[in-house]
Amino acid sequence: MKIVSSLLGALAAAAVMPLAQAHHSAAVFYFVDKQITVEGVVKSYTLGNPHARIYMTVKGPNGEDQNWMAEGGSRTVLLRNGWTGDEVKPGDHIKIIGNPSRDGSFVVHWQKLVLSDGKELWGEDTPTDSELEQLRHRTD
Amino acid sequence: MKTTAARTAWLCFVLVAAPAYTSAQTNLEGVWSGIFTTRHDPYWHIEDWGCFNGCTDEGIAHLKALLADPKNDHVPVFALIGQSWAFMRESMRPHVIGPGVEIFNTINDATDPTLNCEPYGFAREVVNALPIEINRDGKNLVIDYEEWVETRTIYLDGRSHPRKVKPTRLGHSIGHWEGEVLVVDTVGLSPDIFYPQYAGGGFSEKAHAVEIYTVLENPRRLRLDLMVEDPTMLSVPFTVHKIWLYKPEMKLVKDSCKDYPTKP
Repeated sequence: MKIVSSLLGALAAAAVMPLAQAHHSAAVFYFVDKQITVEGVVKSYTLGNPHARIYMTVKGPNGEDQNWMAEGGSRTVLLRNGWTGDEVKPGDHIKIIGNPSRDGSFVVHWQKLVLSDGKELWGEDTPTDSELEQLRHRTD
Repeated sequence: MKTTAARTAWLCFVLVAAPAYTSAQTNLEGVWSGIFTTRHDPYWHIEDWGCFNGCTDEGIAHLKALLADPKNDHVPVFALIGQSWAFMRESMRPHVIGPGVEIFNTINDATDPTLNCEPYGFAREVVNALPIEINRDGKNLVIDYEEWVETRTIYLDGRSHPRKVKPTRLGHSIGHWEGEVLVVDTVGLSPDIFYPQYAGGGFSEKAHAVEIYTVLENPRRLRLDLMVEDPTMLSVPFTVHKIWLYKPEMKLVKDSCKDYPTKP
């Protein structure tokens, strides 16, 4: 099984914290204080509206196939960020790094994709963590 | 009536406060964005980003308090914003009534109609984070939303709402200027059962909305104060505000969901 969970930060909010994707509102609730890495083989990918999605097969702890769905940023945001819809294709072996669903379903809110050639893509509508921190501490 | 009193209080508060933060600019025309390059704009603040889908006054105060608390110095800002959204959502819970209660308690990814290319309803559309473009059409204003490629007209020609309005997703909107502030009144809304951001319980066909648009300092920012009252779904009006930045260089992307659906 290639799913690794890690706690981020000081876990200031141990309670459930809903995270809305940037414009998607709170359709999906994720644990934003947790991050997982999901590694598997792409079945399909759409740079769609309102959000991009990757459906993938992930090996479970007993070798069984798990069907995962990874949802990312908005189509128009990603287009502006240079995405084309050709980022991945069926059969690609990729890693998804993002937030797990709070209900334990095989759903991940992706932030970063690691492609089969090792290339990393920021796939969120949101600024990166470091950009948000800069915004947080800006004094002008 | 509790709702009427609350609406009046909200209107007075927003309109009285407005001149304090307006400039001589009253031209709303152009492209405004609450996302994309705004994070690099010196006039874009962390609370603006955290409220790209609208915040209540209490919610933004909560977010500012979280950010100011030294205990949170090492907590990712995204997590703090998530906490403020959770706070706003829970703040709305006691005010959700009627059929809104079940919607509030059962929303999840599977029930989100947007994933089946069902566009947002009024409230979710007017506060969405993607760019909007405002143009004049005679005396009236037309707002184009990148989100769902929706368009609405704000009638400023002095007309009233029709006596009978066929409900539509964005309703029938008339506006007038209060000094430098544009006040928009909307009725004739079709039910919007999925507004989960904070209100949670959606809105019925009895919903009535008031928007107040204020252009702020130069570089121009646009502030929306939104109030939706709905005696079927909410015991008090739902009120949020949000900020866009003026982005004249941006062009709206007009991709339809039907052409590029999320589901393969």
